[in-house]
Amino acid sequence: MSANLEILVIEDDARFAELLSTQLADFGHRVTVMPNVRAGLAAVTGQAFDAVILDRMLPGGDGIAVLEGFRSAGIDLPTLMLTSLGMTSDKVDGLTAGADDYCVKPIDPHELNARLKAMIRARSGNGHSSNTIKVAGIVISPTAMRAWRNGRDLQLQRTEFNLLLELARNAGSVLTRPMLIERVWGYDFQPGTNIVDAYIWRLRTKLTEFGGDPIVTVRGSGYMLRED
Amino acid sequence: MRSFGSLTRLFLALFLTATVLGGIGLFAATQALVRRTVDQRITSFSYAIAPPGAAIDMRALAERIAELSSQRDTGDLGTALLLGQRQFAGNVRLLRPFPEGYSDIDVNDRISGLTHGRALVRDLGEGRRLVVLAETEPLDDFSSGRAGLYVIIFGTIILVVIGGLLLFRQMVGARIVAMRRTVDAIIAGDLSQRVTVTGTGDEFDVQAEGFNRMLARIEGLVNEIRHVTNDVSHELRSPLARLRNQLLAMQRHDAPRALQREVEDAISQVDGLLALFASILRLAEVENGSRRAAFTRIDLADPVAELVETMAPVASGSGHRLVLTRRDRAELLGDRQLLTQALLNLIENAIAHTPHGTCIAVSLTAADGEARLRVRDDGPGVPQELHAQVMRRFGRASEATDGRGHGIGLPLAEAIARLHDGRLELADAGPGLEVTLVFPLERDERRHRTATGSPSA
Repeated sequence: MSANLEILVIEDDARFAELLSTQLADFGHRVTVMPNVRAGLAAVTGQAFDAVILDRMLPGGDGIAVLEGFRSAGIDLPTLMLTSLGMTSDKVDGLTAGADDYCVKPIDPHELNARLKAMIRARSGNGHSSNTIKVAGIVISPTAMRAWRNGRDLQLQRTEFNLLLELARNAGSVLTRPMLIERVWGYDFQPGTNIVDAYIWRLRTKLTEFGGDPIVTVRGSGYMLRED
Repeated sequence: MRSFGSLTRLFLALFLTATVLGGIGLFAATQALVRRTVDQRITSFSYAIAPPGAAIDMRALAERIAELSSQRDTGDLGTALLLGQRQFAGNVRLLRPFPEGYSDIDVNDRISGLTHGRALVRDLGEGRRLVVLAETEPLDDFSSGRAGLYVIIFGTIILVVIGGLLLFRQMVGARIVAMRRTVDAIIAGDLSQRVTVTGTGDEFDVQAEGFNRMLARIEGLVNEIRHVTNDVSHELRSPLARLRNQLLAMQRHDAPRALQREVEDAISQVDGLLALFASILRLAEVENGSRRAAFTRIDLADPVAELVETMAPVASGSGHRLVLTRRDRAELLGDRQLLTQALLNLIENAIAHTPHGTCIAVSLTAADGEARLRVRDDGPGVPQELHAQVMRRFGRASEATDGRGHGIGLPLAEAIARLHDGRLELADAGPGLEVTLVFPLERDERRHRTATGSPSA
């Protein structure tokens, strides 16, 4: 976990903002809190941030108004909407307004940290290109839907392939179970059974046939593919 | 109590019969009155010429006839005095012998200016007969004209009544349909619907206003219940999330392995609670009907095949076997995410509540305008008398189960089925449990009914 992040939190609930700051500080990030839309918009013009955490319901306007303010000021920061509105329509509203991610309070700090990193990474890298990916001795061809480890064909089933591709695109970052359910399976709900664990187990079995275990289990958090 | 429609038909039939019979009766009565009047007139004229019982000779009779025929008030009557076959006096010529007494005559008797009339023939003795006749119609075709007039008058009455009745029926029907639509929307979960009040202040408006007040009250109560549930879920989620963080922090320190295991167990219990609250909130989201707005046309076969494929490794991981035995095309309007979640809940339930080695069979059949998505296991099943209990929120078949599942799975699946105008059915698979989600198919699909089964395991 190399880069510590400069994070702007636009949140009117002082207690929650305080908690968020402490939790994010544990991961080495620096947090600036602004309590309303105007102060938030003013802050981004004066200081460089890596990412914004935005409350949905703010005094002086909807969080979506902040996103619109960013856009009209030509500011294009990775933004995660964090809100107590948990209905799917709210989520769709947030994402169509330009948020990179949308989470419902309360959020696990590991989950939040993982999402922030994934969000920034997706913005910086060629995250979703169809270029061949090479990581940890694994070669993945998204166009051919095939993967090899140390030159040997892995013979992955469709879901296993998609899971490996998602892990490889975020190699070095933790992907939590909810993130994987969202991105690999496309569900907008969390299943009660551990679908992710079952598939990680299958993928691991196939990967370790031709080398060491490249998947790291991060306790209480999720999974990560080693970068080397 | 008869139905509205049959009462209307009965009333219409009675009204039509009464009106038509009344018209015919009136026509016949006036006709009879005219005949009677004419008969009286010709009788008194005949008596005026030859009073009954008086002996008058032919010459005197002829003179009387000539005299009366020239007077203004009796000049329109026809008379003929016959002696045997020969006409002795009078102002009309008869083409045929008329019977004695009263009789009808018409235009065929070729009496000038007469279309319909009455004749009286009296025998005056000694071969003498006196014929007096008069018109029953003051104008030509008076009766048929009168009949036509009656048809117009009574026909207009009938048309006005039937038209009014139909209009009234349509208005009442429209108001009832409007109310019905509101009721349907409310059953579907949209409690904000109200019956339209036209503002005319009629009985229907009074009814609609009362109905709307009742709906507002119900909506208020239901929202209150929803808010309590949602608030409790929201409020408990924050402390639970904090608790989870603390547990995670404990795990990070170099704690003894035994403690680590207990902490892990505690975390999984917290996760179970968080999942429960997520399900309660999801249930609230499904029940308020807002997701209906995002319905799209989908073939249920696709998410079903995908989900069974996804869940097969999970099932085999816990020693179960999950198979897809039939997969018909089933196009319907729906929310793919919710439909997937409903089936997932059923499969997860089957995995959680049956022992290792149980086979779980999923099938999708489309027939008779319905898609039936069935999850059937050959496990121990649920006794019939407990079916209602497992459908209840937080209801379980037995307290002795290992605590897996939070008792929201089936109610959520049922709520999702209801959102799609469908239903959930529980049945004994003997052995095992059979849970079926029934959805109405898209309408034009009902016409084609393409039930091409493509079984795949």
